[in-house]
Amino acid sequence: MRFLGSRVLRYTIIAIAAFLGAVALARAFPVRLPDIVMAPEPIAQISLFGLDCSVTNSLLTSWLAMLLLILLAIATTHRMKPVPDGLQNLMEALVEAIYGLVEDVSRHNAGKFFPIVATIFLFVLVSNWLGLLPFFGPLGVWHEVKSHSGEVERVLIPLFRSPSTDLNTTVGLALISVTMTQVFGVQALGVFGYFGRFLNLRGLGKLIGALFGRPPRLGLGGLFGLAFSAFLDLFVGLLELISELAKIISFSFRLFGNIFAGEVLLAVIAFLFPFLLSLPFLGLEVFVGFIQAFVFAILTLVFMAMATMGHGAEEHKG
Amino acid sequence: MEALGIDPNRLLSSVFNFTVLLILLWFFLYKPVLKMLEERKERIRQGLADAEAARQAARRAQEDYQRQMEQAHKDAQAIIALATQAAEKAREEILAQGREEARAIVAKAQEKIEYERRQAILELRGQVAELAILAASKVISRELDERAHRQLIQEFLAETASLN
Repeated sequence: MRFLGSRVLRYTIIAIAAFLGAVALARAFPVRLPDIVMAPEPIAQISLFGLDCSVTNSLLTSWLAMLLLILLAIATTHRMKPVPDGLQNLMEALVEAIYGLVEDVSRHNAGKFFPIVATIFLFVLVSNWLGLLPFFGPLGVWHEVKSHSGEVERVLIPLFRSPSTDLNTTVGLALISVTMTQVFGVQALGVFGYFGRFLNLRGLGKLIGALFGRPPRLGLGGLFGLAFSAFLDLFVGLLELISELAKIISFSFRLFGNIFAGEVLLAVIAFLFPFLLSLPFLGLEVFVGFIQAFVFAILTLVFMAMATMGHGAEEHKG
Repeated sequence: MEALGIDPNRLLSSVFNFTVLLILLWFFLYKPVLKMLEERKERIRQGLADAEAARQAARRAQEDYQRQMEQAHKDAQAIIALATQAAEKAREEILAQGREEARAIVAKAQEKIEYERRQAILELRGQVAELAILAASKVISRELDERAHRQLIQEFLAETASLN
């Protein structure tokens, strides 16, 4: 007990000393609260063929992420060995895990879904984690900007910014995900088979058949029922259409919101407790970054699988 | 849209970037790695199949060996039985033959003995007759005529033979 007591005491003293040290360090080196802006900041103005192609910090970072991934890929596969080791082992495990997941969800279309799902996962993961690197916030260029009141302010424009905190990237990814879902759906079910779910006219057809059929078999009540179900079919189709469009919004804002909020949280924590105490939050954001990449990829996979599977009664016909 | 920082050009660039990344990763990562995984899977399957085949072959060889051993054992047993039987038969034959020969020898010997005895008796008879004649002529000192004499001796011999 005495030994335990001394150990607890020792750890307590170390913890207090560390805390005091961190506070003292924070006093000595105060951290600035960065300006929080939703739009990515342009860092270079380039005019290409008369088009304004300003390079934003998030665009630069997505190039960095792409470069990183491609270099990693080349390093993995430029000389593959039948008995893997090191990097090849790691990447093989990663690719196999993603492929296995895609195969579990949709064995039939795994080859089609896999490249998109895997690329979304890898790109979003690298983007999210890049944003956590220490030089991402503070490394930048000071600009003088006129504020609303006319004063000249000095603003630090960071050189790098996680692509996930730029809506252009996340909306772009969401557009790709949703568009490819439609493409695969049409490939699997045909143009009418797939888009029939948005404009379901079968109820209407039945109603017309019953109205003009000879001899008229249904009474007024039956006709009314058919009209109601035709209306329901159309309404459900409308809902499907809306939900498809809403996917773009939910995909893009989920990723953007989580990562953007995470970085704001880190900035605020770094402002409040610059040393030591931001560590747990950093760990949390590593986790969030992984989860968001996973969620984006897995939702894309599931939506694609659902789009190719047919819808209700159509399955029996097709 | 402006406040959110969404810009059509920038949106297009992110879609384009993603497509480029996808194509590059397909050629540099997914395709080679999946191919390698497939090859390895195939190789392992092949290896397991080979091992299974080798095991089957070993078992078959073992069974063959066992069967051959059993067959050889059976054959040896049969040969031994056959040989024993032949030897037994030969022994029986030899014994029978020996017995037969012995019997023949004994019979021949008896025959010879009988013959000799008869011969001896005949010889003795002649000698005895002469002796008797001699003795009788000496005793009675008279010469009987040869015929009467012989008759006398024959009678005498017949008496002795019946005595014999």
